Amino acid sequence: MSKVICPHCNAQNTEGAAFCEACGKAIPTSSTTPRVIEDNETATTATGQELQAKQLRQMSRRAVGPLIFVGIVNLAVGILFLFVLEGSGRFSMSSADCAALLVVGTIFFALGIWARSNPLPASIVGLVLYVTLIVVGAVLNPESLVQGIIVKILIIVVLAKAIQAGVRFKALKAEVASRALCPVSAQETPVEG
Amino acid sequence: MTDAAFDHPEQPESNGDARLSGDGQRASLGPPLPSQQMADDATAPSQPARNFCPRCGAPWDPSWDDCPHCQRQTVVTASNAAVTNGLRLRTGLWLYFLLLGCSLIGSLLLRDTSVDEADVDITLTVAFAAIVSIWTAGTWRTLRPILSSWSSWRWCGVGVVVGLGTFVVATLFIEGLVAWMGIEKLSYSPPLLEGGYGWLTVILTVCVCPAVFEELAFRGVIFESLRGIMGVREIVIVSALMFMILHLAPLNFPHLAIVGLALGILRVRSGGLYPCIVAHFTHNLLVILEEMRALT
Repeated sequence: MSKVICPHCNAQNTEGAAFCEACGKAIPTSSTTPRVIEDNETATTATGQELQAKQLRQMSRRAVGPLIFVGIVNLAVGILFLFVLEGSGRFSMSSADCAALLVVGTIFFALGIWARSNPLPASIVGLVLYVTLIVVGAVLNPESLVQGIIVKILIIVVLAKAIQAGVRFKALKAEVASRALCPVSAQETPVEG
Repeated sequence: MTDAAFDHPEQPESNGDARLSGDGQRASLGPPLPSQQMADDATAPSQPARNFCPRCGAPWDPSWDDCPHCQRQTVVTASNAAVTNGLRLRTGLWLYFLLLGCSLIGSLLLRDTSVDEADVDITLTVAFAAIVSIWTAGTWRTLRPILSSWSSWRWCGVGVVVGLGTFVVATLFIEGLVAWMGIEKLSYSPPLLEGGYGWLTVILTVCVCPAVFEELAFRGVIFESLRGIMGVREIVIVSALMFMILHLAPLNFPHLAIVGLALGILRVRSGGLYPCIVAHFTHNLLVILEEMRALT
């Protein structure tokens, strides 16, 4: 097993040791560049964790835009057909369908408002509802699947990434809380004799 | 006390982690550990006696086999992981979308007028039950506590009252929709009766199976898959909204959301699944009894 020399006290340590067994100081990594936290890693320092949590929170809040956008579109179409194009023949829609659009639009809008304070549950419900509507629409009218497909894919991707960021944010909070339960401090050190 | 072995002009750049400040920690610990003398004299490149844990930097006691700080942290983290990873979010989402697919296949079949509606209803119910049963079997370790919660039996009486309440709310809402928009009220028993099936089949298909398997799905699997990534309040809301969405009836969304919320709150307060099953069964049974009264 290769050894790592502590730069502070020149003591030998086993490879992979984060702290020197002789002096207790941190053993720097061989890289001279700052340590980059990969997507699936958790920052090890308090500052890094704060930054990571802030970034994840920002990513999960990106769901607000698509949810409000879909809500406004549904509400606008429902109002348009219910009040403006009513009885205009070709472009008419039954009042039940208009009401359904208004209900769905209201739900999306409410989810968008909720996502500002609580992005994770709002994103989950928003994604479930949006995919359900697309699938139902595709079953009832297959041509509707390709209409606006790029926008639909973008919205699904943003919502999925918001959920992913929200879940990682919760996991990071749990990990930080568990580390706080067992801090390495002088008060906890069992010094004998 | 000065210690020549630790007087180095180059100090590591602090990155905010208190564990890195070994000097500060040691200074407050009192007399040095016995093994410190060996480290002071160590100049040869041989493995020094262990004074600090190589994983977390905590001062080491020679009598230890393993660092109690790392071990405790691992245990705490593992227990948190057990809570957060009891059921993954994707488990609940996969179940939801499979049930959605099941409903949509049924809708497609019903559009074919040559297909008997009663047979489609029963096939859908069986498929729904099979999917939920498979998911329940796969997540049995997580669901067992709520399914074996015998103390929740006293809540079954509360479940009957909740079922009655949700039935009243749903009836008022639907009657309002029929009066306001003139839409036709949906009936569940006529297709089965016209298909040659009796009231027992109607009760099994419309009351028992949806009560058992929808509750297993939404207040069981999906509820537990959300635990650990959000609070109880959010879990109740999200599971209620998913329950509402799966019924694929936007005009019924408001009262379905109320039913879902009531069942979710009952699940949390009772700690078990049986009161929710009783409430859902009561609601559906009252719907069928109303239809029975209208038909006779």
